[in-house]
Amino acid sequence: MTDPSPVLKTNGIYMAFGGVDVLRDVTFEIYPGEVHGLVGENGAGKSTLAKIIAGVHQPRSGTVQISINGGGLSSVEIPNPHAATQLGIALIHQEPLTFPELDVAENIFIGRQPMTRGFHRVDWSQMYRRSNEILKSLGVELDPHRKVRGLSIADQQMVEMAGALSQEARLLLMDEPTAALTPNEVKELFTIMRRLRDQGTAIVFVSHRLDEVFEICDRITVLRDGELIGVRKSTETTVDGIIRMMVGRPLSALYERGATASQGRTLLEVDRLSRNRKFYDISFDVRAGEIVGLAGLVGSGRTEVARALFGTLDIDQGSVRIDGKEVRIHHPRQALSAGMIYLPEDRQHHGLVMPMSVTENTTLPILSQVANWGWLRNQNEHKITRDYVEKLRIVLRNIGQPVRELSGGNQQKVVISKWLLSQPKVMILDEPTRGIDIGAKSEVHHLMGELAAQGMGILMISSELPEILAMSDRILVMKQGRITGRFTKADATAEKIMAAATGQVMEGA
Amino acid sequence: MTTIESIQTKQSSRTLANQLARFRELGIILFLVLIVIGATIAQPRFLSSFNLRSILLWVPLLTVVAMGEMMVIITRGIDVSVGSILALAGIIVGMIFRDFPEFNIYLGTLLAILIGLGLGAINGALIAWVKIPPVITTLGTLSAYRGLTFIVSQGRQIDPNHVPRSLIHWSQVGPLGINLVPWVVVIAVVVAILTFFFLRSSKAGRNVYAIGGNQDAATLRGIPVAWTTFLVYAITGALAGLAGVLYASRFGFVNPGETGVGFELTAIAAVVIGGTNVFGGSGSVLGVVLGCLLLGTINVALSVLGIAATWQLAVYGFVILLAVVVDAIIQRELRRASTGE
Repeated sequence: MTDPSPVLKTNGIYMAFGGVDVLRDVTFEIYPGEVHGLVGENGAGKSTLAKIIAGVHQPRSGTVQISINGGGLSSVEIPNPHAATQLGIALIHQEPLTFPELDVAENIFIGRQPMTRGFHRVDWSQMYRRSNEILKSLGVELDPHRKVRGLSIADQQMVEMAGALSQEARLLLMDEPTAALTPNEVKELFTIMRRLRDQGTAIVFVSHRLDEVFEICDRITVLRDGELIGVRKSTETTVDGIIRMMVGRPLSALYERGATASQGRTLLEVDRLSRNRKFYDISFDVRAGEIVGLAGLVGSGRTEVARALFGTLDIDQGSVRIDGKEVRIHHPRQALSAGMIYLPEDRQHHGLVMPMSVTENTTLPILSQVANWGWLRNQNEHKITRDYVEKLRIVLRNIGQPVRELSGGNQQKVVISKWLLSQPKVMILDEPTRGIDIGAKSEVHHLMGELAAQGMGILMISSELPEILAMSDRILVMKQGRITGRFTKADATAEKIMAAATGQVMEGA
Repeated sequence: MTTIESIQTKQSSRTLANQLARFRELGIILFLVLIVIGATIAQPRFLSSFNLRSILLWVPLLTVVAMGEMMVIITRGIDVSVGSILALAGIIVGMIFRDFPEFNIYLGTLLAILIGLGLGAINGALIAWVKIPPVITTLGTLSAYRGLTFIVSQGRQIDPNHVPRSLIHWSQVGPLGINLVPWVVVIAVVVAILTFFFLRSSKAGRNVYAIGGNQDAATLRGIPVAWTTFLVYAITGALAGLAGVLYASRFGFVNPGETGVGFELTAIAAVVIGGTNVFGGSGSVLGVVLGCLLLGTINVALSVLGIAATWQLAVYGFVILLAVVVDAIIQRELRRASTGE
């Protein structure tokens, strides 16, 4: 890091998706021969920054400069990933982008195969020879003749890295490369990353796992809500320090839990629920009038637990009791009749039929109740829908309006009303306010508070710490398929939750 | 311990995968042999040189079209307009032969190829740049090109006495006087060999596999996805155009309402039977050529055994389904072997 000239510098990058700011004024430098950690909460903008540098997204404003041939910095346009590749920038994806039907050598060289001189044909023997050399220099034992189909994620990552090296990448961007690896594979990956670093390659390591970030990175950059909070040398800071930088925003007063009801009987009791490779030994309960927050990073198994409870993912073992009765749920219908509903994260795909009207969407799960002899009765449908539109204060022109035309918050309310019709006892909400504007968020929060006050038990999955902290009576934290933290509203802090979610034990926690 | 286990499963899955891949082409040959043996037992004159010639005359037309269709299917697309392209190119060139009897047949063949190239390029442009799904695009042009065939020919067929004798000779006379293997067979073999080298040894050919295998990855790796897609449909059109001339040579007529009707299904059948993955990314020239041979043999066997032509369509359908089911089972076994589940 004595080299004074960075290999790449971003200047005042600003990025927004659909009116939401994702990155604001990010100025960021990477030097040759360093592994640079990029950390932050979900949605902090880490992946977006990496993708801008790799040419996947174009920033709304700001510039990227790179050093050409070790010289000074000059501004470059990176209109697409291919352009990035030619500038020596390679993005290694969390899920490797490979061609399963082609062999390893071709995956390394696709689009840039060595050609014979005379007839300009693909020079297979040279391709295999060079693949062997590159794989050997990486220290990976892979047969270049082998088809990529069936290789482990770790091996496929090696193929992608070999592809990057074959075109002399000077900057490797690795987006959560360890997320799908076993501990041994992570160790091997780090060995290779160190070797590349020592040869002068710059590596950006985007990760949620702070223990790994501290193990491999020389410097760490923290992003929060799209802003660069600071850059620290990993030898000069601590995990606590980084976590504080990650969560250090003041909790806004937006998240106001309306009424906190006195808690009643246990409505949902989950006992040692396990599903191989997804989650293990999950036990918790939810009582009437209670909101239980389920926190954790994306991929920690939260959604899988919800799906298992609702019957769209089979479990290996464990038991579930709803309102004291043991239930075996293999299909959502069974969950519904037991009195449990689930609002999936991706409401566009799972919760709503976008082109259909508000009425049609609302009454979809209870068609048998609004029908006579199998024929729908319009008055019934309309009456029920109007009741809920009023109760949930859904803003719309008329109830025949397609759901597609409503705002995100109002769409979410239609989903909620649709499921409330079945008069559930337990409600599982997966990221109930993701992607909706702030005003609508507090409306949804208010509604959740009211529903709990009426005696419902709510399990809320959320990646937003302020939401978890403000809404939950109790908080569960998951990491890599296990519950790693349990807090009451009184003793939960953002730092404690983050530590449990990233696998760090905080001092005094 | 775990590493040793994982290495072992990797190796066993690798050999299993290889075995199954090889099995595919062996399977077609085996099936072929069974049909020949069965048909010969039922009707000994099945192996007469007349019948062998019928097979060898039937297969080239199919092979030429199937080579293009295979490339399209490797890119995860489909082209159902090949039969109409064949007819339109065949009828235009046939009309030229009718109206200008002295017209050079090689020039005529080149013209048919160029007409096919143009029609295929329209398919390719709509699919690659306007981004209309391949099925919709080629269903549209299937109908449009067929309609044009009626319009330009005013519904009249090209009669045998209008097809140049030298062209008909392509289906009757072979090189070096070996008449069992007529020139049309040689043309089909050349097309297959060129396709093989294109797919094996050219960058564009390798890109065909890449975009069918993983289009997102291909885009991110800077592979010209749209251009390659366009190219594949254009080549397929050109080959269908060539097949139009071969049709005139083989049958001695071109009929706007009959020529090439349903031919896309036979071509797709040959491609699928030949082991091309219907979800894109893999397929081999050898397999598809064997698939064409298999269909040709079935076709001739059906007529030799006195099974009505009305049955043939049903038999094709059945054979396609059989091939797809076998393929699905193989794919599932491969997945199981590779994930170890």
